[in-house]
Amino acid sequence: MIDRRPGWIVRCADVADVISCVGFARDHAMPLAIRAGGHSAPGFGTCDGGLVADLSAMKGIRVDPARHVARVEAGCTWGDVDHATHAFGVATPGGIISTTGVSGLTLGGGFGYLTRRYGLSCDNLISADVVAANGRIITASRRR
Amino acid sequence: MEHAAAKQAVGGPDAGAVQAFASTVRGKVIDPSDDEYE
Repeated sequence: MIDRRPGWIVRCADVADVISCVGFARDHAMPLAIRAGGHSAPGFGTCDGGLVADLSAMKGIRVDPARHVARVEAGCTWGDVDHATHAFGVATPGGIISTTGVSGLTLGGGFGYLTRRYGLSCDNLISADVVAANGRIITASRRR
Repeated sequence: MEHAAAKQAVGGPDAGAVQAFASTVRGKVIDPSDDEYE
């Protein structure tokens, strides 16, 4: 299993905290790991001696049933998303296990129960707000 | 102890820099090598 010992863990409250983490790690040439669901089998959610930006407290979800769109913060698990979308009778391909994080699964493609009909999680991603290594926020989508 | 050793191997920021960083963060900054954390 994974046996890594981070120097510091930041339980991020918002995007500003994530930007601070990226800047701090960059300025001090430290390893930076992003932990969201904490399900990474290779251990990408932690590091030795560096900084772990723990996004698990960032769990905001807003569902727009008319547009069939959900806006999900990076710390959500698929269980969080399914719980929020179920009330509106909508769903999107998530994983197999409810405790898997949305961010990591989607970045890796994302195979789930609805994949045979609706594709991978990443096929259903409309856009993502990404904190780049220089600390700037980029909205990445098909158009931008 | 393992956390402290890993931190030393990376060579990271001093305590003052970490404290300054922590003051800019709304969430919580945790040092796993603290006895309280264990």
